[in-house]
Amino acid sequence: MTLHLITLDAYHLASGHVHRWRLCTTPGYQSRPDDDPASLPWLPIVARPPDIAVSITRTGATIGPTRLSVGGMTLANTRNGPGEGPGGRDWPVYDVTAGAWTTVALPARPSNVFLTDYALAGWPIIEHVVAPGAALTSAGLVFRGVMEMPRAVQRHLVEVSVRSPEAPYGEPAQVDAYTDADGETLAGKTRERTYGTCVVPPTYLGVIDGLHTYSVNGGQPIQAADIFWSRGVRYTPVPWTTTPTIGQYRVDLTTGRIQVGGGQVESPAVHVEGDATGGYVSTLGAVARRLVEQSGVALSAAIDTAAAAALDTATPRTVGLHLPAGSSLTVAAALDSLMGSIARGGWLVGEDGRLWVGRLPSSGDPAATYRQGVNAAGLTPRASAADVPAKRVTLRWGAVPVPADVATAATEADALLFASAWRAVDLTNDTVAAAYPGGRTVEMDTVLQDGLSAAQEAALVLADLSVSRPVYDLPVTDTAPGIGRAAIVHVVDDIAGFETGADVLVIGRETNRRAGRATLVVRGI
Amino acid sequence: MSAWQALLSDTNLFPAATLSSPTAWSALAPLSLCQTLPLSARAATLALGTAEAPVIIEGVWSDRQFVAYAGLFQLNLRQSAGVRLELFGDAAMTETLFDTRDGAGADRAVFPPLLDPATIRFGASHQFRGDLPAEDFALYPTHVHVVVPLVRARAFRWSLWGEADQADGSAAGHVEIGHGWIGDSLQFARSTGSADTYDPRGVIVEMAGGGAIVEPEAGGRALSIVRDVLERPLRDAVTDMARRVGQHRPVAYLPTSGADPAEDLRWGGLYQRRGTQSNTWSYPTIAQSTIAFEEIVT
Repeated sequence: MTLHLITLDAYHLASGHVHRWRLCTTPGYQSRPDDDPASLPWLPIVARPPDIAVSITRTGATIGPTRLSVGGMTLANTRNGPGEGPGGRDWPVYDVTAGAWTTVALPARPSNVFLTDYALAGWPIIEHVVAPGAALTSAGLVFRGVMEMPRAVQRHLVEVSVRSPEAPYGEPAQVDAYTDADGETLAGKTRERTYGTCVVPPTYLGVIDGLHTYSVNGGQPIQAADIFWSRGVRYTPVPWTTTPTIGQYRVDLTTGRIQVGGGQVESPAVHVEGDATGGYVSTLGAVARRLVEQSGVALSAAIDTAAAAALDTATPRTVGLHLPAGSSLTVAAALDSLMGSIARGGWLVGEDGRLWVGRLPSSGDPAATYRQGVNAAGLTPRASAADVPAKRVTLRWGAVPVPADVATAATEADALLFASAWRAVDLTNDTVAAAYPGGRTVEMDTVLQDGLSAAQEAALVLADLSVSRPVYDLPVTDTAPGIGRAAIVHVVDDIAGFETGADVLVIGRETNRRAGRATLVVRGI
Repeated sequence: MSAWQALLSDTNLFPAATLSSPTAWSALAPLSLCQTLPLSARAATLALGTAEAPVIIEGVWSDRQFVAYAGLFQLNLRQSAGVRLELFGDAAMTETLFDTRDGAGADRAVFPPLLDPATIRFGASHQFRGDLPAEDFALYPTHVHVVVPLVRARAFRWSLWGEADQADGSAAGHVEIGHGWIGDSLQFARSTGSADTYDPRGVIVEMAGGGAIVEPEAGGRALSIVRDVLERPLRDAVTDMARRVGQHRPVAYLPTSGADPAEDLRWGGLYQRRGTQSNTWSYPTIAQSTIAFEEIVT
């Protein structure tokens, strides 16, 4: 038998403190005296543990947006007479804000507190499984997510919707907006941001101090704006102390503002080394981290900085991401485009609650072994696009804003640069093309900014996708505690390729309503 | 009349008592936890009791109450641990009405020895004490039941001492009490056709390669008590009980009223009523009735 332990943080509306509630399924759980917390009874009101489905990418694809799913947890809420249940008595709750234990007087219907006294939406919920009476340290983490608004679906049942832990990343990536003071064409629009290095269309701010003024980073500092084009023709940079004349521009690095001499510029484009808040970064892992920090969806402590740094150390990739003014791109979508630029790239909120960015592992020690008929019901193949190997990869990189027409005065190199929006690397695996006439052709639009990185990534993507990696459902009989997305498990089954066992990559997991009905979504490593 | 009288207690006066204890209790599991359900929320002490300094729970009511049964549910004490219940006629606890000590002053154990040599194999874990084998005792939730000759008490005192177990059978350094019960009771014999049922529950998953895997769950006991000849006083008492407890309030049940501790261990405990109360008349003054119960596991 498995007990599900639910730990949820909730905002106590009356006191403004965050309270940590501990709930469990029946028949109930109480920690041991040598556990921390000692001898704490878990409130046994979970009628149905969270019913969830999360996956790292669109199931089956190597590259694709991280899927955000919604499930639900049901809490019992029957009316207790005195002494007949937890309702009506004081219950110990940990006050996270104060760092001390406190008691909350439960109403006769105990779950009513979550409807009336607390705000749950957006707060974290963690599910563990534990054997009855076992030490708390033996509990295995099953799931981490965030809650939505609770609803009293019936008078005696409260349902709390639970979303995947990536749900907070659905917030807009640009937090600041232009105000009325910036003129009516900009008022209310989000401020543009530029992370890493790229060629961007600057935002026109109007005439300031008698000069046409452009902005590339929403008023935040940048590292450099080393080339300014108009219809492909370069302007000459002058120091900020000099007033530019026709054909000249000057840059204020502390605000990311560019002022040009002469009239308003046709089809402006700027090569920017972007956001320098706290130091300039241009490599993929660091840019992803900067984007998340600047958008305010996660504190620095909630980012796995080691993983981001490891990615940049192993394969430094210069990237640039420009979020134009007025865009309402979410952090999740921005991370998708960043991490979707490299082979096996992905992002997720890990078992420890921290944002992980990097490449999905292709080898490693399996976290568990599942054998068909022993502790798993066997692999069930899922139809997916990944079944067919890719014969060709077209990877596009180095996007520029294309002007309506390139001026004849532009240099040959600049004219070539602005002739098309993208540069491209096109690779074909002849072996796969010969074997699979119907092989896939994969097209990727990336944020990569140099040709060498693009060529290397294109080769990695082709190598990754030119192998058939079927996706399977793996229903397991334990609840797969501690096995999250991007984990590796070993599977022995009498399906081709698994007779003697093979490692697979967990790309998703689904927990059904009843105990012990977890399904891992796995694919070839 | 049957040799075994079943016991039902439907009104618990334990939550209504004002409890006090000289024992130190865990900050997060105070003594008051055992005054309410859920069973899984247990009051926990910080240390074990000894015969000289036992874990003591004292309770006082505002006036005298009928007491015919007292119990402590979901303890973690071993069967050899000592337990004593004293009932007093006054709030100062000087006028003793009842004491679990026998005439010679000997205390009883959590599980009173059966001393049936025919059931004891040489070398078994219960060879010398004559109670149940430790491994059999661990199969059941540990409850202490005390059946009291009816008294009107004003106060009670529980004393507990001896060894205790963790859930995994290792030695524990503390005492846990899930729920306390004290109150009046109804005692009657069960008729032919009464049934004790244990449902292990669990989820059975048929495997593709044959066979099945089973996800175990908390099993539960159920009772069906048949009374073929239900005479007026008992009939009214059973009907009153149905009104009083509904399907959601707990009742305490003992199959043998303490006469056979092993039987009481296997089937005694906290139950909830299930189904309707119906009296089927077999004679103008005698009715027939079946009452169903399901164990409270939480």
